[in-house]
Amino acid sequence: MPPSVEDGFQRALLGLLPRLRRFALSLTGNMAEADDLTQAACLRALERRRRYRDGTRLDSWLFRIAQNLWIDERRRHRRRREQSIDSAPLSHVSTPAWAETQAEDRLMLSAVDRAIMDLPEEQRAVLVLTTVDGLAYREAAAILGLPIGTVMSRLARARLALADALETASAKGARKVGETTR
Amino acid sequence: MTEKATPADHHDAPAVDDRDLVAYVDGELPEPARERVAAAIAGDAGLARRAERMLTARDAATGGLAGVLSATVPDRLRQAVLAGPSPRPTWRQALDDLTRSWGWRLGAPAGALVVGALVAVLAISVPLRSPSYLPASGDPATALPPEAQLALMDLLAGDASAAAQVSGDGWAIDITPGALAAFECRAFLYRLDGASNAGLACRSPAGGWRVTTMPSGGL
Repeated sequence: MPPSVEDGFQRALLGLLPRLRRFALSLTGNMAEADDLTQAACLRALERRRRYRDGTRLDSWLFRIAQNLWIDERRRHRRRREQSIDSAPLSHVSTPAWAETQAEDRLMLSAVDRAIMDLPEEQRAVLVLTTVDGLAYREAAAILGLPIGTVMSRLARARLALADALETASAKGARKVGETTR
Repeated sequence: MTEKATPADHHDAPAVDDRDLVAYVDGELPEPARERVAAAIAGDAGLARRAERMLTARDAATGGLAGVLSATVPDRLRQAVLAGPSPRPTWRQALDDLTRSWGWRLGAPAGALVVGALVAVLAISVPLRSPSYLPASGDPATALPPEAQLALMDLLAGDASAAAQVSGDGWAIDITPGALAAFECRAFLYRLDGASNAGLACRSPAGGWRVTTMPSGGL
């Protein structure tokens, strides 16, 4: 028998899945890991639902869980890399799976999306939460565990970098048009 | 680095930097500061151009990554939510979901060999309480809740030289320090509803952990 939606909490989680996936993508940089992170965040949210207080924003609470899981995962990854560099023979080092996935993901992105994904992770997460998802600076700061001033600095850098990328892409496009009409 | 710029006509006012500009463009600046930044922009073409570029980037990025929003959510994610916080998931299924997500894979041949070699070590080094009842599946860990599985993963990621314990509603996990860590493996005990069992987690060469639980009859 297929599982059914049992309560409003699960229904709300289902409704948030697309936004959670997008935020997860801003953290991981590729869709496969974003989906893994999304799944892990949902699992943890369901386990900790008793800690969720009615009246607080479920999206912010859920995003914060995803952010913490991602920090943990990155920490583990760093440790594993340090250990593998110390002990693994070079023959064990190969192209990571995420690199290939990332290349596939990029084919499906628009020019603006590609510019967003090319931003450093710390800037990308802030940009996605505020400019793309529309959260207030204060909410983004709470989710990312950052002072609001840091959110503003990263966001300013992200926006200027994005403007640079779009201007470059636009100039390239104009050059191509010029070449084909010559 | 955040660039600073002093508005030409407001030498006594604090400098307007990129944080002020982006907050101004986004309407996040409170009123006194907003007036100050607006005046600075009005008197400085460079600042005005910078604010304009931030605005252009905002307009372009608004609604960005829309493909993710409109894409069909993978069924496994929906199922993860719909399954809910089941108090009695099977150990293999729940852990397999978790390990698939994060690269902890069960049952790889190399891991099985390592685990097999270390079961004897574990039998000697880990004092077990008498397990009571083993499910028909033969796996003694059929009933650990997902919260316990997540806690186990946290323990494995922690300091390998220290013992640690974590417990929840009806369950507890103790992880051992010491000799086994030298083999890149960590033994742990888990108790669920009063019954005790043992498990072994070994680090794989590719990273991550392979977790094997042991039937109490074998110890």
